[in-house]
Amino acid sequence: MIENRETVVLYTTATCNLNCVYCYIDKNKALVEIDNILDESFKGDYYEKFILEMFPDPNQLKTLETWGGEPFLRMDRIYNTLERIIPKYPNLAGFFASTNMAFDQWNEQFFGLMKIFGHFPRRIFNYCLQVSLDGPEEFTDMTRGNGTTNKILDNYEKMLGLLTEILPPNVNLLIQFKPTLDINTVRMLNSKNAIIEYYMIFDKLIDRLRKLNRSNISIGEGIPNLACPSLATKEDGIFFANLCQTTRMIEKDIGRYLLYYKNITPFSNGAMGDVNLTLKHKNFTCGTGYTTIGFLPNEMVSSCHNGFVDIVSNYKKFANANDGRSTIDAKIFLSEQKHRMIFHKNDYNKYENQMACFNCEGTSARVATIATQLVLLAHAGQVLPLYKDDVEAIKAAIFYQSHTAFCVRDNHATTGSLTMIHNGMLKFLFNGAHQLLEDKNSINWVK
Amino acid sequence: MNRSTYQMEEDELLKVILDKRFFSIWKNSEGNKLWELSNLELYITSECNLKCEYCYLNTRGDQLYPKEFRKEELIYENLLKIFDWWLENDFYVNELSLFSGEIWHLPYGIKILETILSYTRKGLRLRAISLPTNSTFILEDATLNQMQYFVDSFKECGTSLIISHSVDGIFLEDISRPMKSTTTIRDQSFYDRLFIFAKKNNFFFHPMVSAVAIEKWNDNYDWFKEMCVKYDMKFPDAIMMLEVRNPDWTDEKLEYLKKYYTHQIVGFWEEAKHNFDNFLAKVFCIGGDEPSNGYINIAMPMAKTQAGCTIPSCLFVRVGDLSLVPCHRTAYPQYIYGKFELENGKIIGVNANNTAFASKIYFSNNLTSHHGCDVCQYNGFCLRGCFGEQYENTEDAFMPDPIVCNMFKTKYNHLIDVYVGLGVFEYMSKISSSDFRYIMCQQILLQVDRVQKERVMQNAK
Repeated sequence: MIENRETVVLYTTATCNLNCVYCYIDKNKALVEIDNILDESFKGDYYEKFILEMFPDPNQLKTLETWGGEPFLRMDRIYNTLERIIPKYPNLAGFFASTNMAFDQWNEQFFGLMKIFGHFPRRIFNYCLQVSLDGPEEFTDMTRGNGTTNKILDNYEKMLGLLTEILPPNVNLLIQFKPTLDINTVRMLNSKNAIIEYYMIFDKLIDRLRKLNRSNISIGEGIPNLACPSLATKEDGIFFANLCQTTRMIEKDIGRYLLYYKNITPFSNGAMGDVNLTLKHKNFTCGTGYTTIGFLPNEMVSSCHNGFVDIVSNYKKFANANDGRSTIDAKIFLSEQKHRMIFHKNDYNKYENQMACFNCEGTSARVATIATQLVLLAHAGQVLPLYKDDVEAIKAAIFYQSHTAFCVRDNHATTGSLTMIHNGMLKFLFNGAHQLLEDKNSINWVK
Repeated sequence: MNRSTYQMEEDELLKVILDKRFFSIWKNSEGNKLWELSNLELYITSECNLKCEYCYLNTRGDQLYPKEFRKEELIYENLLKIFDWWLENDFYVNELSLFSGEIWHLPYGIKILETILSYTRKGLRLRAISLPTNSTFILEDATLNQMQYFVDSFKECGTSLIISHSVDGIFLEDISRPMKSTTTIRDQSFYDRLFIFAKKNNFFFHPMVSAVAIEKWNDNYDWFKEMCVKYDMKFPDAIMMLEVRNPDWTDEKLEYLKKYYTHQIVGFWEEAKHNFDNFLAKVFCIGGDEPSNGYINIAMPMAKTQAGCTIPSCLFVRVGDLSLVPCHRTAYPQYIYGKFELENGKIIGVNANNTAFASKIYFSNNLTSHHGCDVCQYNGFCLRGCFGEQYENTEDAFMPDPIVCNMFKTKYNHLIDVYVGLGVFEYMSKISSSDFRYIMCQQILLQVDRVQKERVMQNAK
């Protein structure tokens, strides 16, 4: 619905300097072609006009996100658009980007963007920078490529030096680490020491930033999730439950090991503790079809971060001819289904109407669907037997529906429907971890 | 390593799902309440001699049943594998549905029936065979006689062969269901032969109420009625009129649909001699000496916890590749549950493809687990969309198609308005709590109230 829209997504690039093992975008030659199309689209006033059309109320646009590829490779592409739209939307104050921070010109691109905000000294901008760092070198280099960790740390150091000098005072900067594990790297967290060492790198980086002691710079402590969709097995789930047991133990005496962290249990953000059986619990939504619209060339709209790959019709052909190096499960990616995440602007309201059903008050569909899957997995012996009980399954479903692991794109890619979820994540979370994540004695439990 | 372990777990999960829902029930049928709702459909082919305007096989047949799997020999060999597996497991199946296209006028179709008959004689345990057909076998004496032979022969083995005639009626057949061959004519004599055959065997018809020629349905309905009178068949019980859930219900077509419902209601009201008790018995199947038992599309039955079609009560096997598909209209690659696993030409298990879909179809509550429908005020009555059509038009089998929603909402709004005008609901509301009809009437009234409140709210917007 047009009145719910509040976030613009711009795709500054289609390409990336990395090829992470779990990335949902298949890195192939077609991305360069797409990138050229994107480059053209940023010239002139195309996005300004497009945004004004889709966000007709000047008060409704509140946030702008940039995604790619790696968005900072060519963040300069949006400078022109930003200069045009900021004056037109007085409530536009929130900005977000996720970055790998792992290339030479990163600081140049980042501070170039900050400079644009400095052109509007009477406005306040809250910029959230999400840095994808998967942990110490042995983790990050395994998932994101050799040498990546050092590049990130170098750029981080340079950024710290420049922040005090040139960050405009009207920008409130929040830096958030986003570590991602996959079913291989999670196995490296197999002891108390390994877990503590894993978090120490983040703790040290947080410490470096806090010591800048600047009131307009803050930092969040990131805890990892698992890359989705994941082909996790029952055994992976049991391992993860043991991991959560250990993290909960560490948390009880965490000050001995880490300066800033209080909660280090993966997936535990947003866990609710005791759950009442009502339909009034929150559903997680990334904003797709609701608050957020991704803008693409040729009057196309993307409903998800990977929607842009279908700008070119031969993308899948390139993906298919990728010499087996694809990071995507070809069977899933190349299945016959139409892509679900890209629309012409005139058709987008149909998707919004669907997602309105998805997120509306009183909806039971998410919980009912997840609970059914869980009960059957329990009967198959692939999650804990307690989930054979409908009530327990529903409580677990309420937990899952409120979690960021609930991704409609993953759902559709793996099950053919936005509404059903991949069994891998259920097996990962419901072989003992769930109870630990929602342990109300633990400090991260929130009401 | 993980991938294969994961796949093995998925295979096991699909086995558990199918075992709980079908295999164990067929093995231990005695006293099992689910047995009557645990059927098998063999999706034999998508080849057909008609080109019906509203048929998904016309436009999607190659996706739903790829050409490479439609080879007659392959299909026949796989049929034998299925029946051998059935015999070996000593399954007792309530109903076997044989779905095509159309093959029952061809030697190939006759060969298949002959094979099933021989298996039945060998001890294949089966209560009934359901055979939906466009009835073109009626056109030739030889094939008509052959079909009668099968009806009689199966009966001798204790198995009923039940034919459901997919015929839209004399006013519509050549418009909505033309033949691919233009030389064959379906005239009044065809319909006379058809009704004689149906009457003799107590078979029924399932004409499709489609948008294609909805403007002719009043005449067509009267014709069906006359034919039932002429051949002494129960009306409307012998005619199952089902709205086609396709995205071609324009506002203009919906006006005709409303006129058609009104036409039916007026007919029933006159026949009931303006007596509410008679009317409730005939239309709402509530009370009376001879309540109707067919699908009357002006009735307002309560929606059930399972989907309104056969999808939740049937295991569908696409015979050409032994895929376990959700149904004949949802057999798209990503939705296929899995496949029978073979070893030395024998079925030994299942390999999974999409277990989440199987979970949702067989075990989820239809009233609570579909987005949009779960909070819709019409959900107490609504038959809901077809999952295949929803995929074709929304790219998601579980996302309702707004055009089909609009058709159903228009339908229920109209029926409610007409029944309010007649005083039907007022009469229902006065039925005493000691009357056996009380609970059913109250259920209907509750749902009517929800719809009416929603209409007031929508109008206020």
